[in-house]
Amino acid sequence: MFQGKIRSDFMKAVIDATSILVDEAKFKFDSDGLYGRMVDPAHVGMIDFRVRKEAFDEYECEKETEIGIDLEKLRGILKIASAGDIIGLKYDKKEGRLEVEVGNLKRKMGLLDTSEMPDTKIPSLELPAEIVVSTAEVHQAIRAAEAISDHVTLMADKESFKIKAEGDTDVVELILSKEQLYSIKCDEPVKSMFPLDYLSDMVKLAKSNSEELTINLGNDYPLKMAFGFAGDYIKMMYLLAPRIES
Amino acid sequence: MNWTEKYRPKSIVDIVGNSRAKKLLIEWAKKWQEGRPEKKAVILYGKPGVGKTSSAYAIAHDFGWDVIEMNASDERNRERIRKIAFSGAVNESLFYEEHGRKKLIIIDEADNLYERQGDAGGKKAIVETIRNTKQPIVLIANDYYGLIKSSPLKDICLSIEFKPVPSREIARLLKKICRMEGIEVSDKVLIEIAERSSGDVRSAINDLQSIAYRKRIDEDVISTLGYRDREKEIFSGLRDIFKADSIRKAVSVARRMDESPDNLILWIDENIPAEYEDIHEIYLAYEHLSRADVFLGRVRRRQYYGLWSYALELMTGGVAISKKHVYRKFTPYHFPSWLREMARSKAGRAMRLRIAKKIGRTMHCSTRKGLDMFSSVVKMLHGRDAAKIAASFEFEKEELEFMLGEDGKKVWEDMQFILKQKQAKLF
Repeated sequence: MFQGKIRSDFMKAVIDATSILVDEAKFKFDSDGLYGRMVDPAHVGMIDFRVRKEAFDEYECEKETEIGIDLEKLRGILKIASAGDIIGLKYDKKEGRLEVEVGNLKRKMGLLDTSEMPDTKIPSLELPAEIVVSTAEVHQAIRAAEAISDHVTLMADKESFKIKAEGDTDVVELILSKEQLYSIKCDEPVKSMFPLDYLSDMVKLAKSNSEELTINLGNDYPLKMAFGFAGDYIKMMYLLAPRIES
Repeated sequence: MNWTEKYRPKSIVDIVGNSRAKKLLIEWAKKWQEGRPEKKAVILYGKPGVGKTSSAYAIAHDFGWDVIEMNASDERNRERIRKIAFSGAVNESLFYEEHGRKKLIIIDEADNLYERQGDAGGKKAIVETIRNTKQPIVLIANDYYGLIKSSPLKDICLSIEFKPVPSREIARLLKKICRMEGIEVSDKVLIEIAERSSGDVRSAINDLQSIAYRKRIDEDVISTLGYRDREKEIFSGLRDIFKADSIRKAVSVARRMDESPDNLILWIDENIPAEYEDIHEIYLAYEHLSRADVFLGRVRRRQYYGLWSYALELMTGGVAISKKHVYRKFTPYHFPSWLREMARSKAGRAMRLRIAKKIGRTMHCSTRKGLDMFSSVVKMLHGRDAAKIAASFEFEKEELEFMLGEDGKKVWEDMQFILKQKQAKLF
């Protein structure tokens, strides 16, 4: 069993971040906090998140527990709370339900069987380039790109980071030089193309939670995107497979 | 564990029958390995249980491809197909370290998409996916003509037919399974099961498992398999009832099923402990079931069928909501043991009735009363005057053996002796 108290907007961010990829998720609790890792049914996107116990106002977990959550349902419950409210979460194996406490209200939620939700392994990826960039800049570029195409190319070299989308007649391009980035580490030029439907959801989520975004890239290779918030006690990582060119 | 899963062939060479179809499928997959074939998708069609889905998974396994699946348990409308199949088809897989760079998109039961009020959006989304795909796609269908009608699917896909599997090949497979499970069974039984399946390997394996609850399969058990066709419908109905998350859903499933509440209750009764794991859930489920049974009793006594609906709601809806959450596991449901025992004891019960009739005739009472006296008669037949008593009832040899076992023969011989004496006296 476990119980804890946490700001409702933190919990909502976790649910929103996860539901980009899946409808149902397996959440695990252990003595360090809450974590989860899910891959979408098309095997294109993956999320790995960790909410350390320090992000909770109170946290108590005796032994590792996993629960299956219908994300839409939990999101509905969290809507009862206003941003900044502290909500209580409680799970007891005997009870078999997740109890969410909002103010004086107790809401018990039925859970899903986790036996058919497999554990996902993080694929081992070699990503030579690492860019730390303003989330707002990336978000703006992705939004502009969405208007003209369904995919976008991310590029980096020693000096700059580039986002480029090409439609039938239109072009969107964002070029950020070394000085306009928090940092860049890239010895060889890299370039990969990604589907915008996934990327835009991921970036939108990052933007509403963090000013900084760390992106790792390779050549025609998956991308890794990471950000943290709540004093870095909540960390999220997305992996996204590239679009097949030609 | 379910044997059809346990013995699902991993490699395409392990699949029984359909060598021509398998060859075509392998050729197509090889073309994908080398580049992009003209036909980017295949349709595997044929009757249930002939190896279509198994072949699709096996080919992915043999070529080291990742698998994206959309099966009938997903709601497959336009949006879902775009989100899963289309996304899968134009993007690479995250897992290509393990799987190379290809992933096979399998759309099972493609002839059975989510089409509300003639909304053909699902099929259109599949066509769009195939036109844009950069990954191999397999569509699986029972009803080929239903799938290709009013759609360009036939032209943009390679169609491969799977034929029913010859029964001798099925029998050979069943034998192999029995050997691995350590089950003793005669070839005659296996051939009978194989023939009964009319080329459906899955149903043959299910049949075998349903009668192989002991390590030895006797030949008479096969008679309990007569229920095959109905069983299929009941199994899927049971699954929907147990997995329903509301009373309404469970009841509507039951109303769709062509099964009387008297029969349905036996199936649910048998399978509650198979589905539910929590003792409290099992308790609640049986609580509802027993209330349902009270109503069934009233229906029988008063011949008032209006009460059926109460019984039905309790036994389906009541049982469905006895669980805290839906079990996602696969549950192998069992044939009601009560019905099986009744079938098995049919001959015995007929014999008992025959004896009761004779008791009734001799004692000047009804067969029903005769049945009540059955055990007293058996007791008397163990006494000293057994042969005399047996003679007055005019029991046959087999009836005596039924009541007394080995001793029956001796009593019968004594009785013959008495009868001969009687006859001798008469003349």
